Amino acid sequence: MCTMELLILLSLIALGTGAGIMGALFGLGGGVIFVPVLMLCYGMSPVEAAAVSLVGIVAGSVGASSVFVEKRLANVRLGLLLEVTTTIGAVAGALIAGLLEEWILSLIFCAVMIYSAIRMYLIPERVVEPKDGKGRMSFEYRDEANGETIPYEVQNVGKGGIACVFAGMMSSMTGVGGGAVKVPVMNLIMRVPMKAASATSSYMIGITAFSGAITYFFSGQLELAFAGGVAIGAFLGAIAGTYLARRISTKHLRRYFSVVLIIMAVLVLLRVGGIL
Amino acid sequence: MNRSIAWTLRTGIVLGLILIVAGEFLEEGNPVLYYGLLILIASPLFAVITAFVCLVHERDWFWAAIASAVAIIVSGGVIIAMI
Repeated sequence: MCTMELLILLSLIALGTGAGIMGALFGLGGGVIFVPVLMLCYGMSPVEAAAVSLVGIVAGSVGASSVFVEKRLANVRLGLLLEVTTTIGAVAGALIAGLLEEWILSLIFCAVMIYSAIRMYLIPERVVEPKDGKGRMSFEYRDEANGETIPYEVQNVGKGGIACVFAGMMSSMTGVGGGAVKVPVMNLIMRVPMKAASATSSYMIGITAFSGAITYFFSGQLELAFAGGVAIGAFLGAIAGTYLARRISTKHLRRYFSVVLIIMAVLVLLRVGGIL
Repeated sequence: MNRSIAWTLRTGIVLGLILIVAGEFLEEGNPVLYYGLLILIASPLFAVITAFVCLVHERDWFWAAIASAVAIIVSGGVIIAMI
């Protein structure tokens, strides 16, 4: 490996690290950052960039989930349930994508992200404690920031499921990951605590990205050396992100997430406007 | 169940990354990087299968059905895409 190749590898690791931290902290895949950077800085085609981006998302998700699942921050059962509805939405989105203009979809997506960001910034978190016994939708996790065990009962499962169908549709039609919609859906509609919602989303994005990544992998469209560099970085970022996510307060996590949602909305708008 | 899933994910990421790091420093076109990435990418599917097995073992049929649906949808999507 020559010096130039080593520098490229190190820059890919740095890129993956940033996205890995984002994924572990906020439950976002980071595709909206990965793809333009890979295209602009490494001269990749959109397909090559998307393929490498998906591998980075899988690596970050697997790294973060290996911690979040063990600590019960990621709600595996809820994640699997919402994965079914999200996938149905993604398939529906792929089928009707040609019928709608991409810029209209992107604007709707941005409006949803900005609305969610404002609500999450201004309105305090509301979590419903299980009343009695242990129902099918009753869960708990231990918040390491304050040492408390947080019990919660998932509310509005039907509405949340339908909203995740929408998240899947938007994701497959606009190419932006569903985490930006799924986290607010879980937190605002289903009353899942923010930490559990972002950790659950972090677990889910790996399953969602798997399908795309493996398809690119077997079709030979994946740049292996680039994907390897991004995967190493995403894992390192995920480890740092899980450390931060377990120690940050819920209030701050929600506020930072709101800011990230606004930034993502701006990035999508720039892409729609042809600037990115 | 959570420990089993976490163990599956950890095995996938550690094994995959060891091969990826080794592959990055070997000569171009080596199969080590290829298999490292394959193991890493497949980890989420293995975790879903682990969740299904654990839920069946716990006789938690509702959630086992959900896990099986995810495994079928994800695997089916990949098979269709490859055809």
